[in-house]
Amino acid sequence: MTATAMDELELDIRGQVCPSTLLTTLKEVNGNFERLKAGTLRLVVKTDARDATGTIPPMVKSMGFAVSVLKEQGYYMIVIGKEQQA
Amino acid sequence: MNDMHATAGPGAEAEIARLREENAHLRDWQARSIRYIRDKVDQLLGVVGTVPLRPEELDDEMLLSLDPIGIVSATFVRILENLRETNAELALARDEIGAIFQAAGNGIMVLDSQGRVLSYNAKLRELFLPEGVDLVGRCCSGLICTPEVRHEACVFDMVMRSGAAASCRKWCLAGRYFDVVGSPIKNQDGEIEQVVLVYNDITERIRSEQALADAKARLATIFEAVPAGIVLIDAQSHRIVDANQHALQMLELPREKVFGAECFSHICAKDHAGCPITDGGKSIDTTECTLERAGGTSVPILKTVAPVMLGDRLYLLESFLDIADRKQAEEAMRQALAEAEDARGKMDGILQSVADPLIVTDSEQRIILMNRAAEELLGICLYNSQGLALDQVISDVRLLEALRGDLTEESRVDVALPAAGGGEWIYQGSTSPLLSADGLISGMITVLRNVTQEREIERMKSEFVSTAAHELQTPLAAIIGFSELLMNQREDLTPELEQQSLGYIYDKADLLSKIVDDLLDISRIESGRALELYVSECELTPLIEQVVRPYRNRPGPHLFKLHLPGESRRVRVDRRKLEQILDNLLSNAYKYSPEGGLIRMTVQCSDELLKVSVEDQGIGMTPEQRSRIYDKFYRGDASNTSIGGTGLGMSITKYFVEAHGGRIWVESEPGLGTKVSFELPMQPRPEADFD
Repeated sequence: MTATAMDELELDIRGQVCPSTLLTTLKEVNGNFERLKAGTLRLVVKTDARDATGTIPPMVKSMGFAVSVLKEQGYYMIVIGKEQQA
Repeated sequence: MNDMHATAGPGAEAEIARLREENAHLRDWQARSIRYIRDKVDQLLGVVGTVPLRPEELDDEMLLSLDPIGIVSATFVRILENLRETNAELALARDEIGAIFQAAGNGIMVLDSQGRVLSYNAKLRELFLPEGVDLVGRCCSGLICTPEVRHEACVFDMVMRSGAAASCRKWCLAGRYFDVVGSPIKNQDGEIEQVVLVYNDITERIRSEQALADAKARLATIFEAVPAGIVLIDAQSHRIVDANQHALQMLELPREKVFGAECFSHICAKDHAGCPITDGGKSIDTTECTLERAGGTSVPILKTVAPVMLGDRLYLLESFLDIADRKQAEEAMRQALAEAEDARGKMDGILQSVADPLIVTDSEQRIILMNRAAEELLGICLYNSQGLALDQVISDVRLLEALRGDLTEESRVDVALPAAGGGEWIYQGSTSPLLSADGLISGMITVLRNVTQEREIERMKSEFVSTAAHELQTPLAAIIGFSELLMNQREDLTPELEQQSLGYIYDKADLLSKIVDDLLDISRIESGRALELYVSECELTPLIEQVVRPYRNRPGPHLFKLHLPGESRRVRVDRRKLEQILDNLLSNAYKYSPEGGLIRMTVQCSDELLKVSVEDQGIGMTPEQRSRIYDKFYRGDASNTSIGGTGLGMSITKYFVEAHGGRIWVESEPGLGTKVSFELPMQPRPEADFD
């Protein structure tokens, strides 16, 4: 887990399975909630647990964040950030 | 442990047993706590929809350190906060939508799946509902739609049938037009729960479109019907993009040949040096140029160009008129003007060459033209009086009446006007109507001819006839009387009386002969024929004595004196005419002298001249009479019929004297007498020598 100078926090939890991926991600979201909410930080979760793409996004959306899931080579990248205002 | 148990004794064993029990209890408690945590974690994970947490995935130690309950709880707190915020935003959005719903310019109505009205906005009420009618809970059919229009255009039915949005364009109700759009609101199962109908009143738009269509139709009609060629040109490419039928006819080309062609290929082809609008920067160009027909002929046109913006593109609207006819007309008019100017010059020349005053007036009796003689007579000038009414410039009432004569007839009126040197001149005003080309009377031409002399001659002729008749009658009466006496009573007459009667007859016949000679002379003079002089050399004194003798011997109250040169001279004259000159002068002196008056004849000779004067003490003459003494038929005192004479004597005398190259003059004062003198050259001048 490394935080870049670009206000992007990467959470690499490949190898974990659900629901621990969910709990780990939620713990990180809760821990950086204010910065994520303010839009100064973006959380990038790398997971190879396919089920996580079905659990993390709804939970994080319910918390008021924007979520996108990108399929990468051998894993998924779930990007969590401030919801864009319409 | 066994060592401790072996050495510790019973107390220790008890303690160990207690500890073992406590340990077992704690283990049990921990196991139950772990299970409890896992159950609760699984329960929470179940709430969020994920699978239970497996022990091999997260052992007990990891479970405790991760604190999933805390994580999930914190997450739920965040979710609840987000839900509150979302609910607040939704509430705000609902209020906003409600406000928009009511404030929308379109009529909006929400129906349930049974067609019952759930809500509607103010605009819908305004559009469709009578005052006091509420739609909520009722079916809109029959309340908004009429049965006639509902069957084909019920958008609600269309939405319900299709399950998707539907619309009806230009739905007409009571003369107004609407675009009706229906949208379904579906539940999570995809079933339609509500239908939103939006009524957009497009009546004004429809009417505007209709008006626009009408305007376009009118414009198209005008475009085609206007009797001028019109082309629309792209300002950038200079290519024709539209043209009316008249333009095509003028170009003698079909539409497809004209459209897309460069304008310069047809208009201003020869004489254009850049477009005056796009290149020259002019906003409007109205000029004459040429249009090239397909057949190779050129037509002169009057072109007008106006820039117009259509959309965001600049075009030039060029209109042109065929001015070939106008050009011909202008040329014809120019020629006509030149001819008219020429005719005017001629007319002016003619007008000015007319010696008599001439005035041209229009039908309103305003002065149009007059010549210089008229200006002098009336004391006005054409420049100041042109266009003025006659009574504004002419004060003489008699002349004004003459000039205002009947416009329809020619007339001649005598008008007496003050003469420049005093007295009066008589003008004969001759008027004739001025006819226009269509035969209507457009004015009057008046010529004022000075007939003063003519009238005087007429008067004198009239007097002459009377006088001549009297002059002829008197000797004829004597001749007839004595002739009768001799014919009827000759035997009773003494020889002396008979001789005397014959003498009377001879004298009167001689008098008649002289009168007739005078008439013949004056007739000859009047006819303009050269007077024939029969010049011969003759002795002066005997000639004079012969003439004077009858007067000298005439019994009467007059005294007569004759002064002759000391010695007789020979002169070359027409003897008969010199005798007639002397006789005329003596006759006048006797006629106009009072009783006892002296009549003196003086004859003087030099080497060059013979001068004769006859002087009397008679009634004399006024200057006016003296100035007219040589006029034909003029008699100084015509009223006195006792004094005979034809009024021709002095006229003939002057003519005879001048025919000899001499001169004659008169000196006279009223009441004092008259002296008439003449001179003749002793030798007639060559031009007067007719031998």
